[in-house]
Amino acid sequence: MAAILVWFQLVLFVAAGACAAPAHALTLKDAAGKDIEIALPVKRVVFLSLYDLIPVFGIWDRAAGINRWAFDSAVLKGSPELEACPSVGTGDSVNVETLLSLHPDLVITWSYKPEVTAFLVERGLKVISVWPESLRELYQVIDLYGRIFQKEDRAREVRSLMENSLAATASKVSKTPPEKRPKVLWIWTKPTTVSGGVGLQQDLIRLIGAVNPAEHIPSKQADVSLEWIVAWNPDVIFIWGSARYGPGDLASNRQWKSVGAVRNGRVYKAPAMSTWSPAICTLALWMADKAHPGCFDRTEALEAIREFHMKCFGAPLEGLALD
Amino acid sequence: MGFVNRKWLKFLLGMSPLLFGGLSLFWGAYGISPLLTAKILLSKVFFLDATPAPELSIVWEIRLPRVVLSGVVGAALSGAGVALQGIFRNPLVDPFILGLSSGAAFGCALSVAVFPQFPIQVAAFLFSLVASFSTYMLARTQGEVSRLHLVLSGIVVSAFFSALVSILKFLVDPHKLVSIVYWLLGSFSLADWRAVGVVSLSMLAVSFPLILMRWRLNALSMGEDEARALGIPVERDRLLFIGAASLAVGSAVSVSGIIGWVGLMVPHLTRMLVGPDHRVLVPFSLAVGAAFMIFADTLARNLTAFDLPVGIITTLSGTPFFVYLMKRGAKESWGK
Repeated sequence: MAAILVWFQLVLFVAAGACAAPAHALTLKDAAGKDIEIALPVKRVVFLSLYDLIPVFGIWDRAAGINRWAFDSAVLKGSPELEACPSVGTGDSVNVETLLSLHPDLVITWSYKPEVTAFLVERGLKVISVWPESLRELYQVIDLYGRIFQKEDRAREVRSLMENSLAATASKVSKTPPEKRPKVLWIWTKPTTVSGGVGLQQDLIRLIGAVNPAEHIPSKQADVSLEWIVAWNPDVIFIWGSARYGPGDLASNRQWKSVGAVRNGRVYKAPAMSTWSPAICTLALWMADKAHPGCFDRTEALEAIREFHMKCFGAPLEGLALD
Repeated sequence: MGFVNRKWLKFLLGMSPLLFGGLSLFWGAYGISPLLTAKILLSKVFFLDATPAPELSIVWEIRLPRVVLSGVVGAALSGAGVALQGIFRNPLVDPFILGLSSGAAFGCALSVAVFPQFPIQVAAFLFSLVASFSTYMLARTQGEVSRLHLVLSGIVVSAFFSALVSILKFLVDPHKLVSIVYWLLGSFSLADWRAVGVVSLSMLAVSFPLILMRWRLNALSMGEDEARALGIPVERDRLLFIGAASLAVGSAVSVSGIIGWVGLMVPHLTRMLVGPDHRVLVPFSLAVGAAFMIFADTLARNLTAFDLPVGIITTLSGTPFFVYLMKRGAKESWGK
């Protein structure tokens, strides 16, 4: 299934790049590999996925409807435009009548449920499905948004901001010799659900000059025995920001006491921010600072994060501390 | 089967939890030699402290509680299954017939979706008992609590709680949904001594009446009229067994999630091996349930690099077993 999705994404991105768009149309391939032509400019879009990119591109005026999980997004929460935007359900469960009543020019949704995409296409809607699983694919989505919304300059600018931010983070930690790179484990809903060698978390761990001891597992997430985690003995553990447990829970659990990260108090709960937006750069810097203590001047780093956030999202970043 | 062979069989069945538990302790993702494992166990038993930290932690804090917990949960599910099959006189009854699993699932979903400060285990335990109690009270609305009313009430209560779970699953965000789904699959991946303590206490409270009163299950399994003719207070005894089974299964489910088939399959298997007399069947079902669950969980954590939910293993092994049972003839195994 994963292979099919990756294949589809490649088709989508290659097609988006290869098909030169006429003056007032953009040709892309849909989930079934069929060409779809989108009339430009796109004026009414329903965002079932990647809604965090709306403020990045300043396209609230084109948002006809939005996924209801957008109301929980750290980036969007509280914005007056969001409050005015009607919810159409979720990527898994769309309220088709509401969606159709909004008369969208385009629907952007996740690609992991091709049957939803097919259902919407059959009802005459233009649908684009996306599911970025790596930094490279996230950049491709940003380029795609630039093309769809005719904001290629902004896409280039955002991409450049992201690349510069990530490069600055990577260069700070690049002095660490390979043999001294910390072993960093990212854990999810359960403390024994780890990030494997595929996905954005794996990209981030590599980028911050660390090694993921679970990278040999060929999936984004995997439930593993606690014995594996003890055997890997990670130096740093990052807990997914929306998990129900925190560093204190691992520290007070005797089963974890022989894990280096727990013993040395290097378990951190990540800020609850989406990795499907430029906010991933903020997360990368936060992770790098924790994985390489002393490597960053925290005041300087925090200032850089705030500046980056303001440039990308057009709003100040609140509630993030590095210490 | 000869008398001597039968004695040996019973001996092996009785010892099976220790046998499987012992073997399971030596098999895990972290390579520890059997000698070192034995040394660690002995050092802990005799209060010595001469073993390296990671190995000690793995054997004593991770593997052993997991083996013990899976054994206790297996015994709880199997014991409850044999008791309920006896009083319902129905070989297709399992411990979840009273709505326990749906109630526990609702408790879990409620904790994840609405009350994150409330531990999943406590919520699951409470709602499994609420479901069981509701089933019993619903059956009583018709006056006498008959087997048929109990089964029908169980179906109604299960459906009700399942619908509530579905609503919550629909409403929660995908990340929380993952938590609920994982829990529903059943797993011992987070087993620790605290969980062992909780379940063992309730199992002790339940096993004694179950074992001491097991002969009454023989009377109840003959039918209500026959049991009454023998002077058995049918409704009172039935309530007692249902209460005990609910407590055992509720506490088991609260720490492991929902693990299907054990309470249905193991009593059948044991009945085939030792016969339908509950005086023998009850203690051996507890032992075989424990051994089977330890075996299934050992496979779950060692078959792949992943920690598979044990519910998958029990279901995968249960299905062919039932096909075999159907071919052999269920009547034979039920002792008719």
